[in-house]
Amino acid sequence: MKNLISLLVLILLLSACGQNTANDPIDVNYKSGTEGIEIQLVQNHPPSRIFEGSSFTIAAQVSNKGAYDTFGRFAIIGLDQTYTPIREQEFEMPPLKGRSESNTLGDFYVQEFFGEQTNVPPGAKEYRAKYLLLAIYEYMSILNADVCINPALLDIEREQSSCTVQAKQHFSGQGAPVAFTQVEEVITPSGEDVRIEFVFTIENRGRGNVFSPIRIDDVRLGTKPLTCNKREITEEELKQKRNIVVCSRTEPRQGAYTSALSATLQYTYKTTAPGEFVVQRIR
Amino acid sequence: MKGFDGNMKRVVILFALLLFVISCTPKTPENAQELSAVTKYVRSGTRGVEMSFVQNVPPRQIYDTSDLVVLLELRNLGNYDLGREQFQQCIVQLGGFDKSIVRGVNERQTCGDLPGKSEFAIDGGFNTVEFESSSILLPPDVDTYEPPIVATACYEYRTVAAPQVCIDPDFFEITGTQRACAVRDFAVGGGQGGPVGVTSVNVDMVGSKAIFQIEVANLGSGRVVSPRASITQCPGGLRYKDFDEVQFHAELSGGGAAKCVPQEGFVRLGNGKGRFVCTFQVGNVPAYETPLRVELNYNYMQSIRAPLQIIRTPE
Repeated sequence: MKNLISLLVLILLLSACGQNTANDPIDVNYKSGTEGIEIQLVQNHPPSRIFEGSSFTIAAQVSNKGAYDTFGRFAIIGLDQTYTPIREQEFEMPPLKGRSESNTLGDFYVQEFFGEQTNVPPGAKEYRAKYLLLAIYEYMSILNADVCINPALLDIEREQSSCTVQAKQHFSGQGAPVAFTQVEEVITPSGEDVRIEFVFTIENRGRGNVFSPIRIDDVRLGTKPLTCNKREITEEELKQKRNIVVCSRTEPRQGAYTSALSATLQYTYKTTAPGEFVVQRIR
Repeated sequence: MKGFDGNMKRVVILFALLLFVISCTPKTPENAQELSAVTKYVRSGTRGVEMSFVQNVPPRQIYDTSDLVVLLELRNLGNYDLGREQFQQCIVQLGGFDKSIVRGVNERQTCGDLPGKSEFAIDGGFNTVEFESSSILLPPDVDTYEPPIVATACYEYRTVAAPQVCIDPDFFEITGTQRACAVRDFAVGGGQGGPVGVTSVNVDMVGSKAIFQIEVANLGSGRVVSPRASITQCPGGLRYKDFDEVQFHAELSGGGAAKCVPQEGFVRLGNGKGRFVCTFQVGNVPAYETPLRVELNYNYMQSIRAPLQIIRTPE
């Protein structure tokens, strides 16, 4: 009994040590990963097999699993209106908020497509209805990275310098399907000043496709804007791996410092989910 | 026999107690009765201006709506007074952060009056410097920003070493026992009250010439900056050529004018170490001991850092 009490006290002590105080700021990075809108078919909507002449409902849960708010359109394609007529094939998606401190899962809703009297083609025992659910939505990706700027071009010993320039930084994702995957930092002298260049690599890391040119906006070092060699990457350029944007700024020589590099991508993205059901003839 | 054992035990315990008491006695010169011990303490050591952040100022984490306050304690633990002469400079620069985010900081301030260690103030001078920003502006979409807060002190400093050397032109061929001293190379340990110090002196007598090969080294944890570089350029405006250079001057009491190499009186440090050679014409005299006064002038740069995380205040 004594041992048990001692163990309980020890567990209590240990758990108390690990607890955060109310003053500790929230420290969860929701802007990570490569997810955006996810489509999940609702089970038994429709059932895998229905009889001819019956109506049906196709339902899908549409979740915003990325870190940014979105809106768009949701549609069903591929169903033959003769055998599996659908009342309305396209809907406006309601605005869906992304994951955040106050909404850790992100917004979701259920979209229903109502089908009317089904038929089976003459002479056939059944009709296999294949369809594709399609979400086309506006999305964005925001890169935030602390970067070391050493305009003095001096590699003073580590303990003297405030930070060390990282030539390349790699990223897995910013909470969106299109991601900045790498940032390369190049600092070169330019007279009495130094030119700081950031080479951004942009990739589609999601399970869908980019449906519009990708706009590159708000590229900043701290609060200062950077000038970029292009403002857009087309879908074709992305496929051909011409997915690099160079942004630069000239700064006076000064001591090394850490700054916040930020950049925004804006694009339309397309995600699909396949489904099927069988319409069986009644004998 | 038993009584003898008991006495023996007592003696051993008493001896151990005595040893313990002796070993626990502090070795600072506070308890040193003799002034020479204090003087020796004051003129030794390898530290210059030492900095430290006051605990929790800056705090580890702040919200962007808060003010950032950084409080630095400065202590001159070397043997050279700072802030007394009109043109003497010691500055502290706060950096490491983007000035477009942490705004309005008076980032460059003087160290103030910082006398060095002396017989009257063995801990050296002390001062505090405060930096403040009441305007933190996180860029849009940036939720956290983690710059290190780096305080860099740049200051002019001087180290004076005066090791005793033996001068023996060897003209009076008398026996070794009759000589006042023997010419020998020696190491100088413990520093001379500054981050740059003399580490060894090699002596060679060539007829009436005394040739001293003097080695100096950066014994501190910072970087040596040439006295030719202006403190106003430190730290951000310094170039490669501005680092690791010390101005030297050597004189021997009654030794005539020294002829030194490098001739311009500046020695460059490689891996923190440098060497210069000074030749004195001492004439035909019997052996004698005299102090070799070596003065080293340099600028010194030292940094400390504290982590900081600025968090966007949730709306």
